[in-house]
Amino acid sequence: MLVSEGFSARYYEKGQPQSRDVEVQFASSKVVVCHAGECLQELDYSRALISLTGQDGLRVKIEPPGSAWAVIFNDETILPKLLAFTRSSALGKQIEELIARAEKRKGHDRRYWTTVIGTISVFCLVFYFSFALMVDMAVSRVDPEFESKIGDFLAKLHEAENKEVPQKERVERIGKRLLTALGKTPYRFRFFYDDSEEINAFAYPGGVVVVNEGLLKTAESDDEVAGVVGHEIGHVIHRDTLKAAVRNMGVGAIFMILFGGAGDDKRVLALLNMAKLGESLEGLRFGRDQEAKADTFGVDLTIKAGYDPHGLVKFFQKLDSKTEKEHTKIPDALSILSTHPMTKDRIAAINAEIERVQKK
Amino acid sequence: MEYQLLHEGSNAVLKVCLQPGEHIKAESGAMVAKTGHLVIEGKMWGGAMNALKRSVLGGETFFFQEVSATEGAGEVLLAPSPPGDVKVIHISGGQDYFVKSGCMLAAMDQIEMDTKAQKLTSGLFSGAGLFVLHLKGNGGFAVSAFGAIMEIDIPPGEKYMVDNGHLVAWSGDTSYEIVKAGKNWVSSFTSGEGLGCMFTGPGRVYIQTRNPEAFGAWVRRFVPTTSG
Repeated sequence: MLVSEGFSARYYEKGQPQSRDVEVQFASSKVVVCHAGECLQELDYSRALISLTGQDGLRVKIEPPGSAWAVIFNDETILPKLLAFTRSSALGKQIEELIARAEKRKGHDRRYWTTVIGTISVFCLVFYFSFALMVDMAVSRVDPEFESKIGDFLAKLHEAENKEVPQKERVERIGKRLLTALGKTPYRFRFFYDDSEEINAFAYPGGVVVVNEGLLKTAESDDEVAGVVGHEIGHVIHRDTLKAAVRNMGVGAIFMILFGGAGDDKRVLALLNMAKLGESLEGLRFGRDQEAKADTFGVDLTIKAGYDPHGLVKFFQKLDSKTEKEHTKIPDALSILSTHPMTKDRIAAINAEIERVQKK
Repeated sequence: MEYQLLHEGSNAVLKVCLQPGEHIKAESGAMVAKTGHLVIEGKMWGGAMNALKRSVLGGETFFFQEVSATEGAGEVLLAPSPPGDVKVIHISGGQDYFVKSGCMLAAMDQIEMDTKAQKLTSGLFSGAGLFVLHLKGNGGFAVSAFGAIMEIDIPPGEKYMVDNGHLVAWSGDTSYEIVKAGKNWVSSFTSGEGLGCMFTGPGRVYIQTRNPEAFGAWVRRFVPTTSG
């Protein structure tokens, strides 16, 4: 008589709250369940029911009709072993079917998770590559007048602490001269001075340009300041500041602007939410292409306004030398340098633009 | 390693007495008090990848604390953040349990922990999350819950339904599927029960007698939303 080894399993019985660790043997025509040398159950192959169960659906359960008790094996790998002892019986036929079902189940699980992970990956990739496009679309839906309202809101923050000092007058004078050269614009430009010693200048959406004391000290001539302010005006005109702010606001705000029922109030609300982030707007970062376009815009504008366009180059060089000499780090937030350190390429591009405009 | 559950109910505390050389792993921040010379270390249980999986997918903390009796015997008191019960579940001989993320408190002895994905429907509607913790090995581990913890033994061939949001842990031998609580969709939702987890025995399920999400919604009704 062929008797199998004892296979480890867990035994459950109605009325017994705890499972017991048992050994299950397959002997000629019956399943024998033993615990500590004592035979707990015997079940003829002809009556035995075998199925897959458990959280993963790959555990093997053997039970009699009516389920008065059951033994559970940890995984489906036991099935081929059981088949060796039960092949010609009714139980053997069930096991053969179960092996096929377990294989199908595993294949299904693999396909399922491949599909789930694949779908999520594709969604992430599409989202990643279309994010800039979504930002552009969202920004194109924002009326410049709304953008100016954001500027009004942020301007109030600076107006409150902007004292009448010569530096303020200097920034306003340079800004106004550039604006005259700029001509008609949908934005209400306002120029502010900040007594921070950080070498910085930045623009908010809607036309608020702020120049720090640190920058005014570093850039001695008005030409240099005009170069920087012209560059910042370029960011506002190109809506770079709004794009960066919308990008920072996240997907929710973008969808609100794009699909928010086109209700103006909702869009204003979204933008005002952004305005609450006013303090962090100073740190908005722009891409390489945006910086290059702002440089070109700044050069053209300073030439039109009668400033020396080399001022921006001089300022860049001064910053570069200051960084090297004093081993100081120019703040990342300095929007004219933004995400990229100043490079020779950038200076060369500015010089090329100056030459191009002056040749006209 | 000996342990004792104190103040069982809504303020349960697990007291573990460690002999020299023994240690226990507990959820980050779970320690209430300990004998002075017991040593606490933050550890990534099962390595960095497992810790990352557990924290990102399983909603558990990245670091677990390991309390060791390297300098002599001592005791440590552990408790979860929310008010609720603590139960110790013992496993051996290939037994395993699945634990809802956030319900794991501590593991004693030779317990291994991993993260397992559930079926999408189970993950979305069971209230246990798409990823759950999988515990196996030999020894005991402690789970915590909101409200009291009840253990329910489901005999072979029988079915038992648990409202989603009340699951804490269930043995790996049992399985469940998401079903509507009522006879049809209308009665399921008008009864306020919606969906439930239908377990098939044999196996054991641990449930919490209060649903934290439902409790949160209940509290929100009494929070003033406007001033003046």
